This record gives sequence, C-alpha cells and structure tokens, in this order.
Amino acid sequence: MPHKKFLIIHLSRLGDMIQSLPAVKLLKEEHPESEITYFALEDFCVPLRGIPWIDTLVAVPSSDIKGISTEDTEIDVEAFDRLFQRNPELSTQYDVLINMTHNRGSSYLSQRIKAREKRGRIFSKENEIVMAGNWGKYLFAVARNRSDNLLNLVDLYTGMAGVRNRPVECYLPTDPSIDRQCLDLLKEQGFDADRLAVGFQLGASKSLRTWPPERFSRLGELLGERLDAQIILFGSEHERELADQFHKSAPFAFIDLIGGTTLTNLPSFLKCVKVLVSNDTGPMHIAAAVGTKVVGIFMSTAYFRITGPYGAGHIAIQSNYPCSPCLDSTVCALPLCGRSILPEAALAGVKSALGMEVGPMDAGNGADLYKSDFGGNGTLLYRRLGGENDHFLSWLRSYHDTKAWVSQTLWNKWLGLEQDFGVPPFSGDGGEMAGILQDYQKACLSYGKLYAQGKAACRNIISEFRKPRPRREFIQEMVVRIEQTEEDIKNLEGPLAILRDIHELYSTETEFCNFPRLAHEFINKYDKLAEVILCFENRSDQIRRSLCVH
Amino acid sequence: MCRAIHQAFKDIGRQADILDFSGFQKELFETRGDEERSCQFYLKIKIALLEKVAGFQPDVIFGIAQSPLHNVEMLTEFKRAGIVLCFWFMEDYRIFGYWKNIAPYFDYFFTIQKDPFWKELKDIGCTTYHYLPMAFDTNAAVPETAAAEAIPISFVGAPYPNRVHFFSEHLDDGFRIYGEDWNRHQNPQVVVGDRRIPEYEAYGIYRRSLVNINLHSSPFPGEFGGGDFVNPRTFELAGLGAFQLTDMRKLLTLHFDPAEEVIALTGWGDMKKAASYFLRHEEERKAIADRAKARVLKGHTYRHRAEEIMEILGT
Repeated sequence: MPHKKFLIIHLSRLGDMIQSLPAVKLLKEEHPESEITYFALEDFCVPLRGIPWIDTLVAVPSSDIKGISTEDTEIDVEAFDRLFQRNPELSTQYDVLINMTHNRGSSYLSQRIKAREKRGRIFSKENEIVMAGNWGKYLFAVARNRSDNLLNLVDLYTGMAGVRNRPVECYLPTDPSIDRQCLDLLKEQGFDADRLAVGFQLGASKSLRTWPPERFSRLGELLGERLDAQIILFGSEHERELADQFHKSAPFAFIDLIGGTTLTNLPSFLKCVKVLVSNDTGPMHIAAAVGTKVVGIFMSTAYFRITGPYGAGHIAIQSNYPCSPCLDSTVCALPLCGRSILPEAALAGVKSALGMEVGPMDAGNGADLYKSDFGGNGTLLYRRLGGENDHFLSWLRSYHDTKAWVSQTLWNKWLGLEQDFGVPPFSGDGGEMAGILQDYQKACLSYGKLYAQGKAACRNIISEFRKPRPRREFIQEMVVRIEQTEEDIKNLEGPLAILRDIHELYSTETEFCNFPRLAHEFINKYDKLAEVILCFENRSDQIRRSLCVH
Repeated sequence: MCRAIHQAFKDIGRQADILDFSGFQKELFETRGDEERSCQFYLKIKIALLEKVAGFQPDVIFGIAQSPLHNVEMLTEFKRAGIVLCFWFMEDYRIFGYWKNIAPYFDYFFTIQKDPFWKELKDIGCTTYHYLPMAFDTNAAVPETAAAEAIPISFVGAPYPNRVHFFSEHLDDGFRIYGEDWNRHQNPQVVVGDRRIPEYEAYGIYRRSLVNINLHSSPFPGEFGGGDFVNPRTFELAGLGAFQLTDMRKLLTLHFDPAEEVIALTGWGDMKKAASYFLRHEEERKAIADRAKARVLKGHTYRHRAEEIMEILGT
C-alpha cells in the first residue's frame, strides 16, 4: 500500500468527533502505511489522545477557532492566517483531505489547505455550499431529510473516508491504569462490582433534548425493583440542577458522579457500567465506543437513525410525535415529545440491551424502541422492537421506517454500498408498501420528465449556437425553460427530497461560464441525475418483484 | 371575533360597547382608488368613532385587526384624555405590514406571534407587546349537522400560495375545498362553490367533515409548517369538536398537544397519509377531537382571553 497522507478536519462537538473514530480506525486498517493527521477542537479531543491509529493529533483551542467555526458569510481571513501560523500541519501537502465538519469556516479552511483530493464540504464559490464526493453530498442532503435515511453518521463518515463499511468494535481504547483508578473511586462510593450497574446521563447540549429528570428517577426506581440495579449519575457540573431535581424525586440511593469526571477518565468510568441510559450526547457515544451498551433517548431535534449509538445491541428510544424529529429552525416553543417517552419504555430498553426477554411492552404509544445490529453490507441498522401499529403514532413511525427503507435501498448503489434488501421493517398490510413504492415511482417519473425537459432546452441552445446566425430570442426562450425546470425541481413534492437537495449540490458544482458551454454543463448535470433516477426505477422494480416472491 | 371579544368582556363583568365597522365595508371597497371619496370615507369613520367615544366614555379602547385605529393624531388625543389604547393584531406580521404605522401609539399591543416580530416591534419603539393567541367563541351559532351528509376530507379558506401548491397534489378520498377565488387556480379541481364561506356555514362544514385539513397560510409556495402563529381555524375546529390535521407550528404546543389533541405534521406527504389513516380509524379520530374540545373549553375561549387581557392591564 503506498504511503499516503490523510488530513481529517473535525471541528465539531464531542459526540460527532467520537462518531468519526470508526472511520479513522478503518482508514488505518486499509492504509497501514499511511499517516493520519486529525485536526480537532482541544476542548473535546482529550479522549483521542493516545489513539494508535491517529498519527498526529492537532488540537486547537476554541479561542483560536473563533471566527472560523462559523456559518457567517464574511470570512475572517486574518483569523485563518493566524491559525496557519500557529499550526504548521495546516501548511503541509496532503494526499487526501476529509472535512467532516459542517460549517462554512471549515470549508474555507479546506480550500486553503493543499491536498490532491478533497472530500466533504469544500469552499469554492461565494455563498454556495460545495460538497465534494457522493457521500459528502448525501450527508449534507440527509441533514434536512433525516426521516428518509437509515445510515448512521459513523457509516456516513466511513463512506466519506473512502473505506468499505464494516462493523468496528473498540474504537476508543482506554488506559488500564485509569480504568483501575476509576473502579477504585467508585468502590469508595459504595459501588458493588457484583451488582448490575446502570449509568444515567441526565443532561444534553440543549435542554429541549433532555428527558425529564423525574422520568430518570422513576426509571431508577423500576430498575432497582425489577433488576436490583445500582444507579450511577454522570454529567458535568453544569448539569447539577438536573441532578438536584433527580435527587428530589429519587427514593433510592445512587452514586453521584456529576462534576466528578473529566474527559480523560470518563471513558474508563463508563466502562464500569453495564448499560448507560442517556440523552443524545457525547458521553452516550463514548459509552458505545468503549463497549458499554447504551439506551439512547431521542426527542426534539435528536434522531436515532443518524446519531444513534454505534455498535450492535444498543437501544434507541425515539419519540413518536408526528412532528419528531424537528429541525433547529422548526423547534416548537414548548416541546412535549420528551414527555411522551415513558420510564417503562426505557426499562424495556435496558432489559433488551442486557439481552433479557422484554415481554409485552407497556411503553405507551408515544415512543418506539429500536435495537441496533449490522446489516449484510456492513452498515449499522436499527430494527424496531415490537411493531404494533394499532395507534396513529406508531403507524406513522412504521410508515416512515418503510419509506426510509425503500429510500435507502435506492440510494445504496449510488453510494457504492452493497444491496441489503432484507425484510422491510413495515408490519402493516402490503397495500401500504405498494403505495410507498408507487409514490417513489411517481416521483421518479416527475424528476425524469423534468431532466428530459431541461436537457432538451440545453440541446436546443447548443444547436442554435451552431447556426451561422443564432436567434437571440429563441435562446432566451430556452434559458427561461431551463430556469423553469430548475424552479420546478426545487418545488417538487414527494418522497425524493434527498435527490432534490443533491440536485442543488450538483448545481453548485456547475462551472460558471456562458452559453453554449453552460448548456453542456447543465446536460452533464441532468445526465448524472437522470442516471440516478434510472437506477432508482430499476431498484423499485426489483423491490416490487422481491416482495411478490415473499 | 370583534363580537366574540366584546361579549367576553361583558361575560367577565365589564361594561363594554362595540363599534361595528362591518357596515362600512362596501363603501370602503367602493371608495378605494378615489382619493377624494376615500378621504371623505375616513372622515366618516373617524366621526363614528369619536361619537362612540364621546357617548360611551371608555377607560379602554380595544381595537382588533384591521379596525380603523390608524389616525395618529386621534390616537394621541385619546391617550391625552386618559384612555388606555389596546390593539389585538391577529395577523401574520409578514403579510400585513400596517402594524409598523400604529404599534408604537398603543399602550398594549397584543400579537399572535412572538420573536422575531417582537424584536421588530421593539425596533420601532413599541415595547408593551404581549402574546395573545386566538380563541374559540362559545357563543357562536353552530348549525345542527346530525342529519347532514358527512364530508370525508375538507378545507375551508383562501387560496394562499402554499395551499395552491400543496393542494394541486390533492388528497384522494373525496377531498373538497371551500372558499373564494379557488376557481382562478386550475389545480386543484376539487373546489365546491367559489365564494366566501360565512362563519356559520364554515362551522357546519367543519362539523360534517371527518377530517379537516388546516394548512396555515403562507406566501411561500413550498412552505409547509415551521411557521409560528396558530390560526383561528385551529381553535375553532378544536372548539367545535371537529377532528383536524394541521401543519406544525412553533407556538402550537403552548395551546395543544400535537399528538393527542390535534395531529400536527411536518410534510404534505404525511398529511395525505394521515388523512387516509384517520378516515379508517373513527374511534381514534373522535378521541382526539374530544380532547381538543376539552382543551379549548378549559383555556382557549374568548372569555379566557378577556381575562388574560384584564390581567395584563392590571385592572
């Protein structure tokens, strides 16, 4: 394998960074002679120190990144100059740069760094988002259409890294001496190594993604009664208020580690519990990374398909509210979705994570439970537990699952993933599935028509320019037709929203030039996207045939 | 709405009188575009208002959306006379911009939206704004519908761009649209009548409909949900015990549970599927509508709003 220099840029929060580690591990496995440099925020990259598959860890203080980790249109060029002066690694020539950060500042940074190949969000034009590579485009498009996707962020990062998706375990090694220290510290506080230990992570980066502390407290009570579990509270000092609320309503003894852990020893502490029940947070991903089973609670803007804990056997509890998950831009004034998740659902989640028989669940209709496993193509897949659709909320969730299953099946080939048909997750009647397929086929038809329409207008422009005296009005008419096509695509409704956004991203790659060359650029774009549509049509036919066989 | 809030003030023991401008509506339209006649018309309105104030001698003048309280000199005079001025701006501030001219002159400016509207109000010098959501009029006349034919799915309202856009990909299962101006749009071809539907008739349609579509208005064709205010229709449908599917609103959860009392969705595709689901599940539909009605009677009638207003006014 030739020696290659990779640079990974990850200027995001702790959880996202931990989710990038399996991709880094796989990259090193596929390119053992390569040199991997990881560029990250100092505050969050403490657990990454000493990871053997990162050759150089460049940790920048948050203060250095001010004005850089931003979506602002105005780029603070001087701040970037200073960043380059302080970090000589940024001036090195790389073979591959992978930007896993999702903001404008990082894309500008990616543009300035020298690399033969660049993937992810790359700054290249004024006020436009340019995503290099299919995986990068897909990740960006999925951010706004999460319900249509089944792939976990770990698998998306793995795809961006250009390595084959396959299960990864133990991607956050811990120091055995710190492990021992943590266990001793816990024992001093009454930890019984022979009893089941369940950790609670009460907080989250945003309060609206926080399960109410009294729900945690009731869960603790149930775990004590039914499983004789001891409870350990995790969290930073900022989460003290939540811990106090928990304390007030908890009629049992527990170990309180709030404010008592650091990013250095948190992985080791989390190894001491069998299961961590957590909101969608960085510690949740750390627990999964060190091999602890996780029961993740997802509400508001949090959605398990993308940011669910990575690895087999974890549980995700997703609020079933019809508006969930929401986007940052659509968050409501008083989120009620967290309250829809009952402690009984979390208890069932803990039992399932421990491999116990769950039995009939009294988890209410407000939430559904999913368990993770790896699919035949090596990607993580959450499968719904239970599967009754006797209420609108669970029916809708199930409908979304099926829609996402169809969507993923269509996109897999484009992403270079092996097809993994498996059994569709929908447990309703076959008519629903047929309806969904029909919707997709209708959408394919609409896109196909528009692409053909756009191409025809482009061809007319090209042939008009070949004439000795091109008719200006005619060309103008064709340009209007192309503009209308683009507008119609933007407003297309239906299940192919990811494609609609990918279309936008392809548009940003269109070279800025004049007609007739621009017509060639557009034809190129329409051809690429029409190919996707053709592939989708074939796939949906295949699905229909395979369902008939079943 | 004006009559409803007037009655509500009386119901909570306040002396209240009403100046009903609806009789002036025809003349308003007729004089538009003719500067001289328009001036005369507004003078007539002003005189009517001054006569009412002189006769009734109110402590508070309470205007609601589009009432002609836009003469700054007159408002200043009222204030000087010690009258407290209130205005309930029950409109989308993005569509109706007249608030910019009047808001700073009112002692209390009630809105159905919060930020970023409040920030804009602050910027023009109006700092006494308060959130006052719409409500249901329990005194409204409601037609008997027991023997009437059920309507599977319906919408009553105006053809705003987003509605035209989404309804053009209309629902199956007998979707019907009622309202003015729909015939101007080639799609959707599911319009029943093409005229303004009076409240009484609309309430009848709401009650006869198994599934009511409540898509909030937007000037942007592709916009579904994500807006802030909760429209009067949401409260009316709920108050009538009629089942509704609505687009999700940022302020909705302050008033209704979006999964238990109304069904709030984030996409047109989901709304179509939900409509079809609820046509098949009568008990679930009825239970949701019953809970919505109970919620309205508990906290979202005009009487509740009158009480909230008086509490804010500190009287």
